[in-house]
Amino acid sequence: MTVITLENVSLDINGAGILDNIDLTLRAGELVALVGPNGAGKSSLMKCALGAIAPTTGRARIGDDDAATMDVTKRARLAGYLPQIRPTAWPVIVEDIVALGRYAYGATTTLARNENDTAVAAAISACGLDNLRQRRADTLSGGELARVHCARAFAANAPFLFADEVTNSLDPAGQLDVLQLIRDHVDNGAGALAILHDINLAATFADRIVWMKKGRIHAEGPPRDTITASRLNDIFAVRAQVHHANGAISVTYRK
Amino acid sequence: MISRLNFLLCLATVISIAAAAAIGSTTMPAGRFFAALFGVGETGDMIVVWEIRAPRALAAFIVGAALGASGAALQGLLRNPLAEPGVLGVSASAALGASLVLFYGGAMMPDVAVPIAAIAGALAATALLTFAAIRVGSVVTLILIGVGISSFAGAIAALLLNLAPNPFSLADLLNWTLGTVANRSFDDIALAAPFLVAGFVFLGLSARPLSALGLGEETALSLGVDLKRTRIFVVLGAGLATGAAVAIAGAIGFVGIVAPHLVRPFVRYDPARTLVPAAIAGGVILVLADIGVRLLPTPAELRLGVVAALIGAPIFVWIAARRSGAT
Repeated sequence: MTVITLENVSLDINGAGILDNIDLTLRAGELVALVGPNGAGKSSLMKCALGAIAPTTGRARIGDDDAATMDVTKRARLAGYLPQIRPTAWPVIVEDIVALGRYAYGATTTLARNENDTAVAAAISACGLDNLRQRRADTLSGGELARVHCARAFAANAPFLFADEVTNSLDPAGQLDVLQLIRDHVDNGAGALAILHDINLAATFADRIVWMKKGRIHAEGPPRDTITASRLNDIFAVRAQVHHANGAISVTYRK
Repeated sequence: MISRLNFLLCLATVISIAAAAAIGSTTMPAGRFFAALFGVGETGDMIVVWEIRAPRALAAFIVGAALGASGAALQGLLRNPLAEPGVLGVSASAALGASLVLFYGGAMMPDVAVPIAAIAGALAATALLTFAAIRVGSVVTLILIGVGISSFAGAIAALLLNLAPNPFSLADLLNWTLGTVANRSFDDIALAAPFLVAGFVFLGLSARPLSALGLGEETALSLGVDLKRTRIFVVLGAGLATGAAVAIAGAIGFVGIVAPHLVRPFVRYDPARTLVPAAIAGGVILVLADIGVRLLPTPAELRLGVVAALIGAPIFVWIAARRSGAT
């Protein structure tokens, strides 16, 4: 089974330390939330794990391969990505965007065939986009476009998914929709790493929370074990109250 | 499988090139034209059709196709419908390269030096732009850099005109700057053809990644796109094709914007599937424009590049204005 591992990963950019000695393992069937203040290095950690940037020291591996230097097609078949910002340079239609998810399997837009067609159709249905198949991307709401990207990533059937603040700029229902889709994807056997700013969403959907601050991992573990008032104070410098009710955890906080 | 759009465009190509061979200052009835076309007409008619009009029409088509495909690919790479060899200064740099060889090369230069110099100029401009694209991020800034390159190449070309020793070199240089396919022979086309073919191959190889790039560079990377290779292929492809086009006809602007813009709605705005129809449409546009140039009763024949700019520049402004708010 493919595992993503970061070993002693440190990253310096122009002399500034961005990541400091990170160790992290991601497995299938687990949704890991990456939380921490702005500038903690969450996005950089994700980029190292995805192979988009190479660590200054240490190793980031996808399976047995070095993430940054491995074959791009092989990497795309193992790890999908949901961007924080969803630019659409051209008003392409939903179906064509989802079909790009099969890029690493040789499918171009609308030239998708056989297993590519099946995977695209399945991903479109799984994300509730059947009615939007022929819609142009520039006519979609932010929440709809976020779901289109989910379908695009799911269509690849990659064992891992990286989600970079996908809930940003979405309304509450849109945030829940997207995270539920990722949760279902993980329950179907994938592994996922999601950068989240909302502790309540992390508490609701994640199996494990990785707490970051100033380039380091401060703690990691299941929400019920690691969400505490003192941790929220340490990491975010807020005065928090943690509520436990019927097995669910919720957090309120103020400055 | 050939799409209906490409089939219709191919049909338009055949009709427009046939019309370009049939129509001209020497009026020729249909019977004489077809006799000349199939090699059984009068000698004079055959010279007009096969040695004057046909190479000229073919040159117009090839130049338009090269510019249409280069424009579509650059737009895909830079994710902006305003990117184009003319606007970005690629054509002007290529024309400058050709002018320098004509100006300083003298009679010792082999014929192939002109296309090579044009391609070197085009490659220098596209490489500079792509390097800037990696650094600046903002497409508006990038287009401004292109405008700067264009102005600078234009200034050096103006300097050469300024220093031209005699009226003959002045006329030569002017032709490169204004752009024309008049008096082109099959030999001129053959000289540029290998570079053109190589350019089309590189552009073709970059088609698929361009679709993925529409979703942003990070997403494209995660989909399995080799970003560096894609940039290099588009730069080489657009540089070779535009350079070869300029070697044939001089600098002709705006075809690279208008042709992709026209076909995009018919290919559902997919950058990969824009390339081929944009090339064919670019070719047809220039063949038709060249027929117009020959038919207009002006005291001196209008240069194709001048007409292309007169039509294309307002369209450029219109497309830019409609994109208000987009970066």
